[in-house]
Parts: sequence; C-alpha cells; structure tokens
Amino acid sequence: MLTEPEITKIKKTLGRDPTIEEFSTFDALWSEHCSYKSSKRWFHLFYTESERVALGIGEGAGLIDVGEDLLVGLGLESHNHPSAVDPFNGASTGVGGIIRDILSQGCRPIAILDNLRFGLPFQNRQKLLLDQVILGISSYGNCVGVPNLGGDLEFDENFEENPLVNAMCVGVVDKDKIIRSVAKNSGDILVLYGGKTGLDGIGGVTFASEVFSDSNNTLEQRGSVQIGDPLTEKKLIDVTLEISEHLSALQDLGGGGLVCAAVEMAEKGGKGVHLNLNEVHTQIDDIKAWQRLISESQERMLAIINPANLKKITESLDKFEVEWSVVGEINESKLFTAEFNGENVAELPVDFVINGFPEPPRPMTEPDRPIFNSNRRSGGDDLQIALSLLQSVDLASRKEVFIQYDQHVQGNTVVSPFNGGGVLLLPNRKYLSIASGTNSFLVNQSPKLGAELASLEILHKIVSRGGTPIGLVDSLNFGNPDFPDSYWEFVEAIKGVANFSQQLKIPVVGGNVSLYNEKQTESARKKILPSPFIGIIGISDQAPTSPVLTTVNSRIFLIGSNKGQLIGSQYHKQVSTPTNMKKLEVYYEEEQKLMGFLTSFQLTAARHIGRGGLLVSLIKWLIESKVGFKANRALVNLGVEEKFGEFAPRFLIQVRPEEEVELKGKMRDLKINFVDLGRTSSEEVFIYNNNSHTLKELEEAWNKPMKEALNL
Amino acid sequence: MEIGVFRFPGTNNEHETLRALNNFEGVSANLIEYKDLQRINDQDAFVIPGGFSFGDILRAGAIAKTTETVQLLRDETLSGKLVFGICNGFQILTEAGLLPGALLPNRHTRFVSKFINIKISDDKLFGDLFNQVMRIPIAHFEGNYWNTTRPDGVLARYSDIDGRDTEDSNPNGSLDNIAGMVKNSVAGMMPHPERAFFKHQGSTDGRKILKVFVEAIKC
Amino acid sequence: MMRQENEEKSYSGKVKTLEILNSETAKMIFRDDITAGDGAKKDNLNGKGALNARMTEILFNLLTSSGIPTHILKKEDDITFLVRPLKIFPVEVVIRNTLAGSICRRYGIPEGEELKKPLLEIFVKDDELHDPLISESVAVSLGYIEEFELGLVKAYAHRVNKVLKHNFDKAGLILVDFKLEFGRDKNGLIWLADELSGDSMRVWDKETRQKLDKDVFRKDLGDVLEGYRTLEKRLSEIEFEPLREPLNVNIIITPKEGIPNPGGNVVKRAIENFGINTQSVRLGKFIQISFQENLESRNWKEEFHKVNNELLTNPLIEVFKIQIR
Repeated sequence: MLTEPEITKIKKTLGRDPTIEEFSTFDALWSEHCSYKSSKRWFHLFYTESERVALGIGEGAGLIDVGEDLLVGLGLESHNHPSAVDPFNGASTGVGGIIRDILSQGCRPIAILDNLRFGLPFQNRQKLLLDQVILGISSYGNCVGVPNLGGDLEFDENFEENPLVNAMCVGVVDKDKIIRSVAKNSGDILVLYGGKTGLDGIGGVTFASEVFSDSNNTLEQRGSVQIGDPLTEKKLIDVTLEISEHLSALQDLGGGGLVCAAVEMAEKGGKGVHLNLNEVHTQIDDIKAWQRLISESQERMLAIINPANLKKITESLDKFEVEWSVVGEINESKLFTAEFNGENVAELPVDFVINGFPEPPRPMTEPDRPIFNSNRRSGGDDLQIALSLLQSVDLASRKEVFIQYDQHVQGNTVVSPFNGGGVLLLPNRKYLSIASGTNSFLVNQSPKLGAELASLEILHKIVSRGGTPIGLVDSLNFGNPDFPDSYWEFVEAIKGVANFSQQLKIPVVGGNVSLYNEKQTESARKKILPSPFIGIIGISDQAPTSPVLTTVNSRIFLIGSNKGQLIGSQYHKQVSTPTNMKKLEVYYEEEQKLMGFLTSFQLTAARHIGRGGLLVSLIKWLIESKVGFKANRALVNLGVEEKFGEFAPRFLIQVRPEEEVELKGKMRDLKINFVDLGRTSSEEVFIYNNNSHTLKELEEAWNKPMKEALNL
Repeated sequence: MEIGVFRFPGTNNEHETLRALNNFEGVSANLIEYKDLQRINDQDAFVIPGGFSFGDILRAGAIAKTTETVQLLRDETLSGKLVFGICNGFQILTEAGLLPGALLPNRHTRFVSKFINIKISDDKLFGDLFNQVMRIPIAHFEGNYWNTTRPDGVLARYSDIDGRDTEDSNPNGSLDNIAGMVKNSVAGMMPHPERAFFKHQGSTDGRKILKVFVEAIKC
Repeated sequence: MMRQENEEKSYSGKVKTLEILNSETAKMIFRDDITAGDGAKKDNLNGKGALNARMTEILFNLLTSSGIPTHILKKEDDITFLVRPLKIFPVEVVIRNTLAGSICRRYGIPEGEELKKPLLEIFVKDDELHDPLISESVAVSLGYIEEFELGLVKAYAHRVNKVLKHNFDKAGLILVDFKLEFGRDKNGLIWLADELSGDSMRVWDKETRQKLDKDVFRKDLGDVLEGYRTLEKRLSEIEFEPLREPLNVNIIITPKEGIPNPGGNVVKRAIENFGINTQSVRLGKFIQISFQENLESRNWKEEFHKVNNELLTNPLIEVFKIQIR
C-alpha cells in the first residue's frame, strides 16, 4: 500500500489526483519488490565489477562470461508470501518466475536451486507446508525440464508463520544472443505473449510488501496468489529461444505485472511507452483497466520488437501454440500513457514512476539481544553427541527432498546436489559448480559476521568441487523494515555479504529483497530469523573433484585450521551454550590460501565441513560414499572446538597412498595445516575409539527425521 | 539410418536423446514435431523421449496417445519398424495399448529422481544384454507398473547391484519390479538410458541399451 | 398423452393423432378434443387444436433456441407438425414451481405457495392406474428408462423449466407446473416429445392469479379457450429470451476395485494424522465439462463412453460415472 508521504508526493507532482489506473501503477512500482526503496541505497557496497561481468545488477539476470563466447545467467528470488498462503502454487510460481527472469536475458535455463525455511516439521501444518512446497517446486521444475542442482533447508520456530521459499535459476546464452530489457527505438511495438491475463495475483506485489497480521486471514488472500502452468512455461522457453534474435528487448511479467515490465523497459531506454489495454488477451472479458495493468497472471513475457519482425515472431508463437497480442508502442514522449475503451486512463512521466518515490527514512538501532541459550542439552561422549546431531531435523539427510526433483534432465548433470552444490557440464566443455543457501541461525547471532561466514560456507561447497567462484546473487529475507531492529539486521547483513564479495572479489550480479517477513499478533511480533540467501557459481576446466570418497585404503585429512567456531554452530543450538563467548571471526587470508589449493591442485575427493562440524561432516561423508573408516587417535583426541566448531577455513580431503607424499609436501610448502584422521576401508563400518557402527545403521538414523517429516 | 525422435508439447528430454543417438556412427536422429506427420514415413525407427507430454494432464501419456502421430506410429509398428519409448514415451506406449499394462503413480505419490540398478530380462530384442545389471537414472512420478496378471515380455527389472529384484531395490512399487516391457517391435522403459550415456553423466550403461536398439534397426 | 410405436402406422390419442410416414418422419395432428380425469371428462371445442398447435410451435421454438433437442421437424399446417418418430418413455416428467394439483391432494396442503426450489416428479403413464408417482430408482429398476437417460431427461427438464419460467414471468404469467414427455429415436438419441400448451401446464396470471389452463375445464371455472387465447396472446407479445446457460456434464473417475491407489494411501495416512481412522481412501478425478447453449441432440451415452474409454480414463485401472446437470 502506498504510504501517506508517497500519496502526497504523487498528488503534488501531478498537480491532480491520480486515476485508479495511475494509482495502481504507483502502488505496484513503488512497492519494495519493484523499487528497492529501502535497499537500493546500500547496493554501492557490493563488489560488482570484474572482467567476466557482462551484465550486472538491474535486469532479470546477471550475466557472467565463462569463455568461448558463452555467458552464464543467474538470478535468485523470493516467493515467500504467496507460498505461505498457497504453498503448492506459491512455490511453483516462484520457480516459474525465476526461470522467466533469466529467460528475459535470452538464457536457456539449465539449473534450479531452492532455499527453504519452515517451522519445526513435527506438527501437521508445518509438515503440510513443507510437503506442498516441495511438491510445488518438483511438479513445476520437473515438468519444465530444468534439473534441480541444490539449495538448502532449515527449520526454526521463527519461520512458523512466515515460511521462506527462495528459488535460484542458472542459464546459458551465446554472447551474440543476449537480450536486454531496454527499450531502444521509438516506433517499436510491444508484444505480450504467453498465458492469458486473469484475475489471479492481482495486487501480489503490494501483498508481498505487507505484514501478515491476525486480521489478514491467509485464506482470504488467495486471490493474490498466482496459479502456475508449467506446460505453458515450457512452450514459452522453447519459443523465446527461437525468436530471441528478432527481439529488440524483453522482460518477463513478474511482480507488478504488465505496467512494471513496460515502464521499466521504457525508463532504461529513456523512452515513453503507450499501452492499449483493450488489446491484452484475457481469461475473461470483464477485467478492468487497472487489473490489466497489474495482474500477475503467470507465464507471460513482454517483448519489444521492430514492427517489421512481427510476422516472423508471431509465426513462431502460433507454431508453439502460444497466445499473443500487440499491446502498445514505444515513443519519444518519456511518458507512460494507457488507453482503455477509447479513453486515456493514465499519463505519467516514466522517470517519476521509476525513480520518483520519496526515500523512506528507515531508522535503525541494534537491538538488545541475549545470547542464544541452548536448552536442549544432550549429554554423552563426543561420538554420542555427533550421532544425536546427525539425527536432528536440522542436520538430517535431505535426500528424501532432493529425489523429488529431477536432477538429471538435460543430461548435463555431473554432480547431483546431495551434499551441497551440484556441477553441470557447460556447452563449452567447462564445468559449472553451483550452490546456494545461508545459515539463518548463525546470521541471527551476529548479522554481519554471520552473513559473511554463511556465505563462506556456500563458497566452500563450490571450492570443494574445484570450482573458482566467478559470481554471486543474493536474496535478502528479513522482517518489517519499519522496525529499527529489523532494518538494522537487514543493513548489517548487506554489509556482511558486501564485505564477503569485496574481500574475495566475487562480483554481485543480481539480487532481490523480501522484507515484511513477520507476523504481528496483539501481544508480540514474530519475525523470521534474518536470511540473506546467496547463490554462487564457480567454474573449472577440469572435471570436478569427487563429492564422495572414491577409494578404500586411503586416508582422510583435515586441512586448514584445526578449530572451528562454536557461536552459532549446531553444537551451540542443540548441545550447549559455549562458555567462551568471544566474537565470531572471519579469516579471509586463510580462506584464500585454501581456495587456491583446492582449485589448482587436482584432488580426487573433497568435502566441505558444514553444519555440525568436523565429526558430523565426516560421518555424513562416509554414509554418502558407502565407504568404511577407522578413526586415528589424532581424531579422537581433538577437543570440542575442533570436533564441533563450524565456520572456519577447513576441509576434508581424500589422500590416496600413492599421492600422500606429494600432497603433504605441497601443503607444507603452502603452509597449510593438515591432520591425518584415519583410513578408509571396504568394510562398510565406522570405527571410532572402540565403537563401531555399520554405515547402514547410520544412514537409516540420518534419513529418519525427513522421512518422518514427509510422512514416508 | 534415420531415427525419428518425437516432440509433443511438454516433451523435455528431446535434446539429450538426440545427442545420444547421434553419437552412434551412421545414425541420423531427427527431431519430429508431433504435428509434422509427413516426416514419419521416412524414418527407419522411432524414439519417444521423456518429459511431460501435454503436461501429463489426466494421466501420463493419456493425451499424447490420442494424437494422429501415435495413430500413425501404430501403423508403422505393424510394418515391423522399431519404437522405443523412454519414461514418458513408455507411458504413452502403454496408454496407446502398444505395450501391455499401465503406469500408476509411484508408491509414495512422489516424484523420484535417482540412479538405480536394473537387470535386463529380455532375451530377444535386447538379448545381447540378457541378465546384465546396469546403473542408470530414473525420474518419474508415474512409474509404478501394474497389470492384471504377471505379463510376458519384461524388458528389465529393478534390482540391487547383484541383479536380485529385491523389495528394497524397487523404487516405485512396480509389479514384479518391472522397469520396462517389450512386445514385437515395440519397447519401453522408465529408466533413462540417454542420461547414462556419456562419461560425465556418471555411468555409461545406457549407451549399451541404446546401442542394442540401434543395431536391431539395422537388421 | 400418446403412444408412438414405430410398428403401428397410426395411433389416435386422447387429443392428438399420430401417423407414421416413414422411419424418419411422422405426423402429429392436434384435434379439438379436450379431456380430463384420465379421460373421464371429455368435450370438443372448436379451434382448440389450432390454438394448442400454435402454443406448441412458439414454445418449442423457444426451447430449440435454448438448446433443448425437440422432436418437431416442421409445422405443416394449423394443426399438423412433422415430427421424428420416437419410442416414448413410459414415464412422464412433471416440474412444479408452485403448489397445485396432485401434490396438494397427496400431502393435504393448499395450493398457491411457491416451492423453495423447483420440484421434479416422475409419473408412470397409465390411465388405468391413474398415472401413479414413481421413484427414480423404481423407474430404472423396472426398465422404464436407463439411469443415464434419466439423468439427461432430468437435466433437460430443469433446463426447460428455467427458460419457460423466465419468459412466462416476462409475459406477466406464473408457470405453476407442467408435464414433459421424452422419447428415444432409433439411434438411441433422446428428444423432447409431445406438446406444450394449456393442456400440459398450469399457468396463472401474475396480478390476478386467474387460471389460464386446463384447470378451467377440469373444475368448470368458465371458458377454457378464453384462457388459452390469453396465454397465446401474452406469449406472442413478448420477445423471447433463450437460455444462455451451459449444460454441465460431470465425470467422476475412480480407481477400479482391487488396483493399487497410491494417492489414496497417502491421503489415508494424512487423514489419520487428524486422529480419524479410515478403512480405505481412494483418490480419483472429477471432470466438469460445460456445453454451449446450442445443443444438438447427441448420443451422449455413446460419445461419452467413447471419450472416457479412449481418453479420460484408462479402462485397465479406472472406472467412470457420468452425471448430467
């Protein structure tokens, strides 16, 4: 909803009351989703330039050069509020929307990742949300034919009222086939193609920028949710790639609908745009002009074309059975005008619509936050603690989720997303590694450092595949920015992601913000844990380092720092509050050294050390690899920070007997610390300090929580 | 040798299927849009690739089977031309009655995408591979093979790594672990041989299956 | 009331005569007779045949344009129609909007009150038994009409009521109740048969509630033809509005007995999470098909069986049921 200062500014600038169509236009375009009015002021902090960046922040997808005239496009977006109201359709259309974002740049979509947050999956409503969101993503992504290459899933009671559904899409395009979202020529015409415009999703943007409160019954908000149609999306992809060379500009219709796409493209080219709203192809006749402007019906694209190309383009559209209509034209007026039933219903300066919003002041204060106190102390020795962590819903295997997504469609999947990120073979024979996620629990302990360390955890997944990071996108999910504490968290996390990008020179090429993720009840505010998702892509010329152990009778080394940090770790969350509460730290120099080692030296198998720390990650690796192991005393004798600390420059690597000497020498040269943890064996058993567990038993324990959550 | 690879609206495995088939010497695999009926007669054999033809509305393959394309294909099989349906292609062939049985939703009514093992049971068309165990991916929602009786003409069964068709190795609840069927010149299977074809895909067992199919066309 | 039998060349009913010309055509001739009380009371009124033929013509035209398939092919002269030869069902359908006639006697209630929703009743056509009321299931069990046909007949009858009631109201008339007959042709298609006139309906003036139908004759209330003429005049004066509502066909698809139904099993488990124990849950599909207003009479049964068997269901694993609304 437009605020008082915004309405005042509109009236003052226009010198009159806006028409309902104009009002709807401002309502859509001045929403946070379209205008970034609370976040744009911080974007300058990001590292954005590199010789690989072909298109940075500002359009549907960022584009990164991967050589041989091939570009990789990437985007990451939230679809939280629709998914809270209708989890199946909300999640499906979230996937559909991000695919069209990268398609607008001419990219063929080659991978989807999804980042999900729910309340604890022990009661029916949270289980249903989880199940329906997964079904929504799976039914849409699988049907469209784009493989799922990763993502993450975290549970916390603070997500009960506001689950998060973020989706990332990666695509490829030849350098000479890029499409931009810039209206370049007067006289070009606007072709709207794809699904029919209907009443679904009216006001979705405004809806996404509002806080849920008790009086806003979620059931009544269904009208704001869009219904997905993956078959139409598939045809949209096929036809767009066929006609791309005949288009002057292209943008998908997402938040804000037709008016948002038309006015944004006009503004980027410094042009004016006129729309004839009667021409829009609709589901039913009785759709009002303002609804035609802002409807968020799915699977629609707005192309700007030279009229001479109309015949060629519409022949293709007809062949693919995709509906289209010519809805307007580009002109020199620098105005946005619209007509309906012969009447002019809107006349607004384009620049004012895009840039004229009064910047909201957004005060911020650091809240007084007590340190998280673990109330779930679980006792026992280190191994028992590790096994209990392994069986917690936080760390349980996500396999039952991932197998619901097609990971192999298109035939280019080299590494499935089972442990972290995936790897694809690109058309230029290079390998692209992809991972996305964050660590909401950690970021909540310390938003800036947490955002940096969580981003490093994602980076570790890329690096352990041998990938050199070349770009990142973010999607920042926070509470209501009207509250100074929520806004502080948001700004701190932006600073964290920005510092991460600056320190490691990984360019940020796109982003999305989702604020207002909180629910207000009479007694309290319930806001989500701050969740700055990032997606990173990495590239390598050689086949990826294996994510699973490939040989027996080899050694597993811990490389990098011995210790991890306990604040914000799963040990902190589930076992015990650390006694030594020193501040979190980030070790960029050490990170870079390890990154160089892992990406230049051809290792046979490596694994990042993720949630739960060293011991838990090691056990997971054995289960994933179906390889047995006997632990050395050196491992057993490590302390709590070593075994359970997280967020440190450290990895697990496989060392085969024949390469042991060489590797050790190399690491000594580079001053990389290493510890020999034990030996792998063909017998599928994990032996640790006189305890022995079969891998089958461990795997069942690890799989159990998600099976229960999904009622399998 | 010309192999027609069909594309219905919603088909989404056509590119990797074409890429795999064209990798064989002497094979020219051609993408045939489902309305492009006049090209059908020129082909020596056909592959119906995976995907979600017509969005898998009603049942997987239910709408595709009513198209003129599939009617024509039926005539082509009568003259002995080989047809291979993969995943959605297998579903279309059973819907059309060209292969016996039906494919119900998976046991847990969830999509399942993972590498599994199958053992080849057919000793005729795929006789060269008889009893071999292959590692190959599946990706489907409706792959739960069902029939009124135990059918003849099983092409392959889901199995463990040693070729035993155990309950644990059955990923979707199929009757008798059935993963594929063959009848006269028509064959179909749920697993995706085209996704276990090149080295980067993690297994090349699917290449053997497609190779046998391609060689059978020559005969 | 009239029986049409293909074997017989000519049949004379109480007020009309039917002559079979060939397998495609028959003649329906309106006579000047009038009867009541299952033929107990009789008379002959000059011009009554032509008047009822005229009413039937204009009302059947309205029904045709509202998508009801009728047996009339063409009007030949003032009292004669060329019609399709049909095998008439031995049951007739009555729709009541306002209480009057046999329902008042049956339940001992006064006439005149409007029903909460239109009531459809079926009667056996048998003068000797005084046209007894029959339940739908008895009519089907006795083989008078097939279940599928009954569904279609009921859908048509409600549709006839909707369009007539609306247009009568426009003409200042209350459509109290009326009777319809349907028949099946040699191809199994179903058509609306017989006539629609003051003989087969009750109609009152909206303002005065004066009776304008055969009740005038039945109850000796005055000149019945005067009422018929008023009816004809009022209906000729208005511009008819045909019905533009689609006809809905619902198809319910369920998994066959004994075949696995994974979806049902999953829903069963989910229902049990709510603490409700179930024996079994079967998950099927529901398809609603709407037809445009202009319906040809079509072989619904054959067409829908074909489309179900070849497209909508897989006969190996599913069964279907058709409902017409």
